[in-house]
Amino acid sequence: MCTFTLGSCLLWLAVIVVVLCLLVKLYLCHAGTEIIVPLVDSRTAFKAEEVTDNSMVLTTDIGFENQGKQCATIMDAFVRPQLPYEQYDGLETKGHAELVGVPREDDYFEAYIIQAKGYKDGLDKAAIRAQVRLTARKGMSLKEAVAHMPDFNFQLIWLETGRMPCHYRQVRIEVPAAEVANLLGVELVKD
Amino acid sequence: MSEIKIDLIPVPTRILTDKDDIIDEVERYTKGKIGPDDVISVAESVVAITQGRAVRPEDLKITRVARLCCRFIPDYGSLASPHGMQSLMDVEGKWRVAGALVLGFLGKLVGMNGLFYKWGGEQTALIDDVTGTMPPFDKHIVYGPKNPNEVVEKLKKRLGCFGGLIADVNDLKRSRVVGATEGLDGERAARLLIDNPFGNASQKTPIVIIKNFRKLQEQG
Repeated sequence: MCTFTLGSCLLWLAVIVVVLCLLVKLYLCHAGTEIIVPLVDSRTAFKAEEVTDNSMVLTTDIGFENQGKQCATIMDAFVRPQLPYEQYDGLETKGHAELVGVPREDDYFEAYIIQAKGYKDGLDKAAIRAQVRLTARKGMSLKEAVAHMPDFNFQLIWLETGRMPCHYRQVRIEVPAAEVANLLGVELVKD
Repeated sequence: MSEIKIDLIPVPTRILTDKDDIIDEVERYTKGKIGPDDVISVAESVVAITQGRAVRPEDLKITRVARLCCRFIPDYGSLASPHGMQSLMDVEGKWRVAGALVLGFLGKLVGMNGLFYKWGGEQTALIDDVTGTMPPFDKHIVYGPKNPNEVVEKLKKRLGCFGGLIADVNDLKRSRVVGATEGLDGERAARLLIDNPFGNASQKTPIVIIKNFRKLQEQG
C-alpha cells in the first residue's frame, strides 16, 4: 500500500509548481513580445514643403517595423524640436508627426496597430512623417534666417504598447543647417 | 403577403462624451426621424462613454497578475494588453479573472470553449482596448455600458418608438445584443446591423434607426 506523508505531499506540490512555472516561462519566451524598431538610418532625405518668404516645413519619413511576434500599437507620436533661443533666436521651430498616408490637420495622432512580423500586406510596418516648421524671426526673411542657423536636433517621441504596458520611446534626428540651406538654395554664413 | 421594406438610417452626431446624457442626445438627433414602428439602436461604446465608462491606460495601476494573464489572450483581443486586462480585473476582480483564465484553458483542453468569457464576468466580452473606438477615445479603454436594458427602456419611452437596442457591432461582421427592450426580437434586429452602419473607425454615426421593424417582427 502506498502511503503519503505531509512532507512528500509538499515536495510533490513544490515540484508541480516549479514545473508549471517553467512551462509558463517557456511559453512566454516562445510567444515573444512586440519589438518596434524605428528605421532612422533609412529615413527619407529632408524635403522642403510649404516654402514662403518667412517659413517652410522640413519633412522626413521614418519607417517603423515590428520585429516581434506580437502586434503592437503606436498610441501617440509627436515631434519635439530642440533649437532654443539661447542657441539661435532667428528661427522659431514647431514640430508635428503624422502617419504617412493618413494626414491630419488637427495635430492629432490616431492610435495605430502594427501587426506582428511577417503579417500580410506589409501591415507589420508603418511610417511616421516628422515635420518641423521653421519660421523666421526678428524681421528676417526665411533665407536670411536659415543662412545663420546652426545644426539642431529634433526628437520623435512615441507612446507604444502591446504585451508591455504603454511607455514612451524616442529617437533623435539631426537637422544639419547645410542641408536646410541647400534645400533653399542659400549659403551658410559663418557667424 | 407584401414585402416589408426595412431601412437603416444612420444618424450622424458630434462626438459624444461623458458630459452628455445619452437619452437627451438621442432624442435631439432623431427628432422627426423616428416613428412608432421603428427601433432605435445605439452603439454600445458610445453609451458607455456617455456613462463615463472609459479609462486611460496611464491611469491604471497595472499588476503583475494582469501582465501575466494578458499574455494568454491572442494578440488581437482587447484583453491582450496589460492595461486591457487590468481594466477587466479592476471591475471583475483580479482573482476571478485569473481563475476564469485557468479554467478556460483547462476547458479548452477537453474541448469546451468560451469558459473564460462565461466565468470572467460580463465585461470580459465588452471591453474595447485602445484603438477600439474613434478619436479621441482611441487612447482609452472603453468598458461595456452599465444597465443597458434600463437605458433602452428609457429611450423607447422618450422616443415613443417600437423598441430600443444597444448593439456591439464591428467590421468583422459580428453583431451582438448588449441591451434590448422587452418584447423586441433583439437578435433579429442586431442581424440587420451586421454590415455595421455605425462605422467602426472615424464615422460619427453612433445611432441607427431601423425603420418598420415592428411590421417585420409581427410578420414573423
